[in-house]
Amino acid sequence: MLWHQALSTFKKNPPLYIAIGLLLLALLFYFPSLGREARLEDSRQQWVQRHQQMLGQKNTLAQDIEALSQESQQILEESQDWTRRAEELESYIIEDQGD
Amino acid sequence: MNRLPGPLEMKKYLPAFIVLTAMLFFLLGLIHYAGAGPVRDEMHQLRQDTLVLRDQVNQLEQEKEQLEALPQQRDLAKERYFEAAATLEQQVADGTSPYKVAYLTFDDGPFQLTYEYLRVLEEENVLATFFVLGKPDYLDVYEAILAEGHTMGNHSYSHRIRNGLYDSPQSFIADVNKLDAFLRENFQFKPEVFRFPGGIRSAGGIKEECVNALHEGGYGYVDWNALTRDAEIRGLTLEDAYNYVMPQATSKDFAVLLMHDFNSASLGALPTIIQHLREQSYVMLPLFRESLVMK
Repeated sequence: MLWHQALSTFKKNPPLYIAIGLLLLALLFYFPSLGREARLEDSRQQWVQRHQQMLGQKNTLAQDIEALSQESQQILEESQDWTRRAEELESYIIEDQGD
Repeated sequence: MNRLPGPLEMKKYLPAFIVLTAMLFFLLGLIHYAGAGPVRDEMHQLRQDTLVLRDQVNQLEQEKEQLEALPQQRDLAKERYFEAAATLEQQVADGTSPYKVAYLTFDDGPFQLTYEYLRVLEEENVLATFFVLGKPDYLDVYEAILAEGHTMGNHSYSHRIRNGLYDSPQSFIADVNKLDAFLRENFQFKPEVFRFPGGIRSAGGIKEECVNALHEGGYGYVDWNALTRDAEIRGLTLEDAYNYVMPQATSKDFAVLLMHDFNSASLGALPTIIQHLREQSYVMLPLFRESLVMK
């Protein structure tokens, strides 16, 4: 019934209803485009923030690594020295032969 | 003269007007869409850059973790060394080892001559123990002792045996704590071995309180059972130093040799002492808190 009513209404002035349909379609295209722009801007801001955050994190890490690297060579040598001494000392230990 | 369109004619043009309006909105929508293009491009670029940065951050984090693990690796290697030292001591004490243990100890430093001692010890590949006092002018020497891996022990800050150190338990503890604070402040280092200036007998009647205080402070203490007498005899020769210390040392399974790193005779005798100790099956160790000779 509703369909018949709509069809009879449409038949009274087809160009008008086609035009209204086109207008509705245009509005459907236009209004989301406004929101899309705002959403894009929000998203861009978020990426800018993430980018800056990552950049800050990278710089901090690079500084930390530079500071650690200065000591690391010495620590590595000390570690090797202690390993060598331990191995040497272990050679004096009599292994348990069991019963 | 043209007349204005009436309501009926207006109705006739209404669809065309609506279509034009629709086209206008469609066009505006297109303009918005096209206008967002640069923002989209910029965002895309930002996204790519951020992803590259994230990879770089991940790599740097891994590199940092590896660097941060280095001290732990060193500590583990050090721990392994002292575990081996404790095992060897136990085997010597049990009589299951063909070896004996000697501890080279140097008191009252640091001095400028300490560098020479460190050089000899490095050449001979021996770790020793330095019982130090508080000497702010020799910070570099303390640093060198620790860097070489030797044990640094507390020997009190002042060494004032007859001038206040052993007046009371409080005066003794204050002096020990003063050196503790000095070493912590300058080297972030806490010693665990202690030697009484003059030996434990010098503490006299307050001996027990002093020992209790040392134990509470995480210390073990040790005297000596062989010495070069380099602090007693003027004009000591290196032969004298050797001849005094070796018979005492080689009669023990655990020999704790006392020398002073200001003395050039002990320094001169040191390579021979080390060589002959080795020939007589001594393994030379630095002192450590869990050592069997620590009390």
